[in-house]
Amino acid sequence: MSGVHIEGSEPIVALIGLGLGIYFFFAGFRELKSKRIIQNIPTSKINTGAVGTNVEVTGRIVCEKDQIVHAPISGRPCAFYSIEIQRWERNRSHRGSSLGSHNSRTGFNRGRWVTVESFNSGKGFFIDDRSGANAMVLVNGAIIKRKGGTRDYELQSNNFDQMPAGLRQALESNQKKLRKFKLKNTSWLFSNRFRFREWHFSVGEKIFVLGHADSGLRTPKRNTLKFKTFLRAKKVIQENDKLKSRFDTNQDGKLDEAELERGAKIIAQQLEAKYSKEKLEDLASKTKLIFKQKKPNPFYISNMSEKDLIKDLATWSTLKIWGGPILTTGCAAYLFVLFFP
Amino acid sequence: MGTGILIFLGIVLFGALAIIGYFITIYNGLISLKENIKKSWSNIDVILKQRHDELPKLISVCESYSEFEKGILDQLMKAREKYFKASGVTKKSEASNEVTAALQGIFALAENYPDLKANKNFMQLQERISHLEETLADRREFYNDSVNNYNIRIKQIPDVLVAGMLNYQDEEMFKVSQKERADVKINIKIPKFG
Repeated sequence: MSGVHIEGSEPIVALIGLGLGIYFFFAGFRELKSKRIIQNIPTSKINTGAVGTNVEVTGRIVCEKDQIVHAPISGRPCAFYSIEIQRWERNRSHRGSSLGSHNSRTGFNRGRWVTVESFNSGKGFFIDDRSGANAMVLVNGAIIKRKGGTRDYELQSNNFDQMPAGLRQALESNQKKLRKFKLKNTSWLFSNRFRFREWHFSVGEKIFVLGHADSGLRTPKRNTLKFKTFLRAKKVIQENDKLKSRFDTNQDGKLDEAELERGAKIIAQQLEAKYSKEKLEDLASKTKLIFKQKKPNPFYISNMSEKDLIKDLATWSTLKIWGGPILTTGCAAYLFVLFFP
Repeated sequence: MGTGILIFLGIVLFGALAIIGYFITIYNGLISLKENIKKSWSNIDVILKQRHDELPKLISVCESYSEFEKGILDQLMKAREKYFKASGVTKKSEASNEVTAALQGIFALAENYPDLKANKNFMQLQERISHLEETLADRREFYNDSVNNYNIRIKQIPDVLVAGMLNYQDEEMFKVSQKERADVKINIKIPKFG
């Protein structure tokens, strides 16, 4: 560097700014493209929309009573929720930067929230536009634009046992999917700060969807039994003499616990298969479109109106297309002055 | 090289990139708008073809009733043939409107033939054709929205510059026939008392 001695983190910040500016510039064009796609595709009716292509629909979220879930943090009944697990990571360098945002802090508590895991209440939800049919929206891979806040819950990893029961239950039931997060109390010395961020779509909420629409409903086969169904099956066997003798494998005239559980599993599976078939037939008769991610097609889900969504994308694309170059040029000029005084 | 020159170069570079990027976005947007129109017309054509295939079945069911008015069936046959020969959006939409008008005539006339109205085949065909007509109406609306988006876009700044380079012209909408727009006359026979 021609003998110039440089100290501090400012050049690194300027270098990051330079890269971010270029990223914003191109991200702005991506948002401009999305805005134009939304503008170009007219809204279809679910009942008569053409499948196998990009379709735009608006409708309200519908949900069967027994499919309603409760958001783990707010406790609100909803059709779909998502939880993001974030960990607080402290900055290692001692000199602070002036850059601070919603996800980062300056001063003594310098650091930022890093998302380590996320999970949803299910694969998606149904929307109805009163055209006589409904559409299934499988949210995986979608760009979700939401208006309305999120609900956060923060705690140290040594206090996990103090978290709300709903959140704990949700984390426990999704434990297998969460590879980078373990719901285990750590000691105070090695504890980390965690933040759980929740957002949800309520039943009856108006939703805008643009994406590749397919036809035909295939629901995944259930491999696990609901505990409620298992208990029901157990009761059915205990009340029925024929079933009792059927599952009495050692023929001693008594149904012991192991025999009862084995029988309950078989009956519960039959009950759930019947229930799933009924549900599938019911849903298939009304579902005309299925929205799911299909690259390179765009996939947007929003609780904003089309007009507001376009406005939002227009604002952000303009800011990024103009702000990005300003940031890059500014940072480049700063670095130039710093290295070639 | 001074800082001023560097800033100037940065502005020129990003300015050029922004202009190129914006041009590509507009160009691709116009192409997709044009393709959307073609695709939405194809979606209408599919439904028209399905309806076209149902017509001979309907005619044969109606013909089995000897007293059924032949004039309206001939009108439907002619409209079907016209659709078969038509090419292009305007001619096909005109022929389609004639088929729709003839079908409405048949279904209205069938009210006077209780046996025909109760015929299982006729009922199924009526239901199927009504569903196709409903789908056709929605897809026609979608097509017209696509054309409207395109027609507006090619006249707006800065798209008008790119549209001019591509020699893009206004596209025609799927027009609704005068018959469909006219008020429906309902003749209610009021029974005389006393």
